[in-house]
Amino acid sequence: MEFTISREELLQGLYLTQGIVERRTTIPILANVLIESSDDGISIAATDQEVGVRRRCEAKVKKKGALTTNARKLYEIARELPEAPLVIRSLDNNWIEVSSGKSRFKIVGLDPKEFPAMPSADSVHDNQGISIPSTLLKEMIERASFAVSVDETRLNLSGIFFERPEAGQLRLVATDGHRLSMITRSVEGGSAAPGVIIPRKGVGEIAKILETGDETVRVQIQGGVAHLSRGAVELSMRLVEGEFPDYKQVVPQKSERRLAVGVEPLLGALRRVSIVSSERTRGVKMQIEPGRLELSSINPDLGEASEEIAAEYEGAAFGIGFNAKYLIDVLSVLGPGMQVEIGFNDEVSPGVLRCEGETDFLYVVMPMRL
Amino acid sequence: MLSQPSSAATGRIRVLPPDVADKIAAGEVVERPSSVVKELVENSLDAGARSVRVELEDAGIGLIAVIDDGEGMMADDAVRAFQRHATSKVRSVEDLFHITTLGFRGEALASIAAVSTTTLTTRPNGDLGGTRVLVRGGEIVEVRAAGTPAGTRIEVVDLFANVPARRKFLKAPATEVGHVSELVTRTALSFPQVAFSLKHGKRTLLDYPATSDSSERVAQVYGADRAAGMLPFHGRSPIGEIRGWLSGSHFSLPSPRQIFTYVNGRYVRDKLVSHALVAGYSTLLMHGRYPAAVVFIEIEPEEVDVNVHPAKSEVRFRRGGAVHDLITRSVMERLRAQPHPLPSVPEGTPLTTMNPSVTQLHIGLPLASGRTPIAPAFDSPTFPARPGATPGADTYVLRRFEPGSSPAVRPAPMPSMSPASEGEFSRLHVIGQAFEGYLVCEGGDSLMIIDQHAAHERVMFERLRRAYAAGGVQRQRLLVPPVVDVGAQAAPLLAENIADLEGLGFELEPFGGSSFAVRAVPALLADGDPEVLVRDLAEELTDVGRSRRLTQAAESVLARLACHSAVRVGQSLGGDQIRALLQAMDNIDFAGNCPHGRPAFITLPRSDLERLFKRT
Ligand SMILES: Nc1ncnc2c1ncn2[C@@H]1O[C@H](COP(=O)(O)OP(=O)(O)O)[C@@H](O)[C@H]1O
Repeated sequence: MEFTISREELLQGLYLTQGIVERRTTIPILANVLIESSDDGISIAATDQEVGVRRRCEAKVKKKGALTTNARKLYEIARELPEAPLVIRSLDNNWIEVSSGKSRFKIVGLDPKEFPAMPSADSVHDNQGISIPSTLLKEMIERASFAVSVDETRLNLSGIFFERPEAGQLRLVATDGHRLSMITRSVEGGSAAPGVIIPRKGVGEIAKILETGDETVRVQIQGGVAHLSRGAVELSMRLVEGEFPDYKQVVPQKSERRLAVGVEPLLGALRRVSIVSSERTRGVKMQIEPGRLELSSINPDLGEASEEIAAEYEGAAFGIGFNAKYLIDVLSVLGPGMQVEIGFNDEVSPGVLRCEGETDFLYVVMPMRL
Repeated sequence: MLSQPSSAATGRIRVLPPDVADKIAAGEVVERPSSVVKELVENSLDAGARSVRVELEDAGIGLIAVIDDGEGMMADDAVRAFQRHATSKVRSVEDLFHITTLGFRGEALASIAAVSTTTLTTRPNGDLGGTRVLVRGGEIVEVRAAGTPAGTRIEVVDLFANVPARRKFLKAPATEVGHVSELVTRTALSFPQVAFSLKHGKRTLLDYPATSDSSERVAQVYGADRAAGMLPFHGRSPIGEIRGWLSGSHFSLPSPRQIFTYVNGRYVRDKLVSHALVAGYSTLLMHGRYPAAVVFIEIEPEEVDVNVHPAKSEVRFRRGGAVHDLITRSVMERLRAQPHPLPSVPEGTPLTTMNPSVTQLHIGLPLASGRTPIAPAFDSPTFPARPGATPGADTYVLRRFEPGSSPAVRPAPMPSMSPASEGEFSRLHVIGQAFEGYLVCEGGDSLMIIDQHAAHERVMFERLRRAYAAGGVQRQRLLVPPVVDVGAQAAPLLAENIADLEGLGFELEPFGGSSFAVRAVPALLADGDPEVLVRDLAEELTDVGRSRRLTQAAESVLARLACHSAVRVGQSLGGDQIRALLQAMDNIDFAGNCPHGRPAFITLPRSDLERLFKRT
């Protein structure tokens, strides 16, 4: 195989593979990218067998074929080379030559036939898929992904639940068992469909392909695999097997006490007050009284802190404890100028946070007994 | 001593009626030289001796002589003493429940005489003439008058000459002498007012002069230095009283050999007692390590049955739980009050790679003859390693880490606060992570190697323990309470303790059968799977909770939970994580060991390093 490619185009293609190639793999070929010729150029692919990415790149193919070599090394080489076209060709015994201007690299490769297949559906059934603007999907992921469990052993919580509750709707739900974030948006196409769990790593890769631009993303779920395509990029990932908790059950039907407060003042106060709270549990107490909210924390090792902010609240004074991180996480992904409403029932029941003027986002957080 | 009024009349020793004899645990008393010595020494003590001398030849095969200055025996008694079930100490079944003397079965002399040639020479204090009785293979060969000092001298020769099978089972002479020496030592500890000595051939192995002060006897036994580090302790509960000496938390041994426990003056080697003792050390000792301790328990004779085993080292308590509680609680309280627990490795922990003989083997150079021994491992209180206390005495002991030892650089401590940035650990220069399990750091004039799992576990454990002590572990409520089946064994334990479990951070709700809905878990551990946490809790409670109340099991439960939530060996840590861990280590009262008792870090002083490279 031999082709000529612009440095920029090669970097674009390799960039997406960097998060997927395994850093410490026992299977050497998983640290590699597969470069294959197509009719109008080449494609660059990488997979860890759970998540796979492929990007079509413009290139002048002189000799068709395929090659595979270390993804990181190739990326580093391309990055350090000056802006000029590169020529890449395969040599005997899977060696690869990269040359640009007066620079020439000869690097080892592996037999491209050994390269594992991208995750693909184990059965084909008719699925229309949905289309969604990049910015919208990006926002949805941002508002859900922080709530995904960090505990690798709890498989069913280790990803975002993608669901289509009704035709023309997409809902993302994530929870770690202590808080739950749920966002619903209108999308084009698709009928109602039961939810699937997209793994944490896959979610990260999706966010990466959505970083820039506003092209439409096509999402298709099929036979245990989620398939996304956007422009020249295709992303596929194996779904998490496991049952996502019945999230509807945890959303309280009504809240007896409601507190309205600005995102910015609340976030700032939480950040300050939690500085002295225990570094692990970050317990912060909320004392709510008509017209005001007092946040406080006590840490026997360090000291204490409190701050009062203005808030809309009518009703009896009421106190409840939370892990400050759980509130900071959600407030950080909301617009600073927004106003949120937090509903409570009592100090052992969940708090529910909504954004003013938005009905399709809600965040449920369990209190902490301080 | 004798409970009956001592009488000069003949016939004090009676043959026990069969019903009494039968009540007494049967069994062969004489197994080895040390069992002979044990019986004879106990007889001497029962006879009110102020001095007991033991002499051996040929590890006891040649000769065992026990010489006392006790009350002695009159001629009739001297003969009757060799009859089976002849004793002056028990007369009826009723008496068996009020045993205050050491020997009581009236079969020791008979058994010994049956397997040896025994000479008894004795003279009661007031009498002018003494008696000598010669018994061979159980047959009285000769009884005659003899001049002798007041007291009793028993000489046993040709032990097991007529029982070759027994003789074959004897261990190497050094081992048999070791048994005797241990026996004399443990007896001496409980009779400080009696002088003891042990000779083997010409060598005097032990020599404990009489003293009125039991701590003086402890010093004679352990050596003054080591004894200085022993913490005297005392405790009392309705069941009885306990007192003695304990080694501090910075000391441990690989075997329980330095633990001497006594119930009503009688040496016992009892599972319940030693378990309770080690339990009192809780997490200060790692699994398989033991303290040194001398422990005397005094309880009503009715509360204890010593007639369990002919070797008489085991006892049966009528109320074992109460005795266990008394011991554990007293030990715990004493150790808690221990001044300044030092972060350290247990004494005698050999660092194999630092063993000079190992090094020598590799590089084939003779060991520098002038090698100065490494300075004592601990400043105070300290036990210098006793020769032979640890197998392979030629091992280095790592020194206690003292990063802040220069008073000039150490900031004045703030009252009741420990600012993280000023701590010993966070001031270390981190060199890196080795084997994805150990943090290698440099501080002051030492290298410090931290076991990341043990350290983190300790951090987690201290946090939990502190939160628990402060009135409750913070609880994170769960969105979807999982239902966990803990099994029939653990379920009642959990159910009984539901209210107390809240203090540990758990809110559980019975869910039928042996299942519980988990409403909240300790916030510190909330990242973990609540099902796993509850299962751990249940398991730990079944392990430890049977005999103890939850408050006492709490430590073990917290230790278990901490262990499971700590970073593992094999997990690579980033710079931030290492920093956070070191800072956290500053924030806890670091006793140096992980809750399982393994050391969390070791220090290698530069001077030791240099010595290893033969630079000094
Ligand atoms: N060293 C001694 N001094 C005085 N009396 C002794 C001594 N040794 C044994 N006796 C007497 O001999 C009796 C029998 O001893 P022994 O066979 O050892 O049985 P036990 O000690 O169980 O009573 C004792 O009860 C005691 O009266």
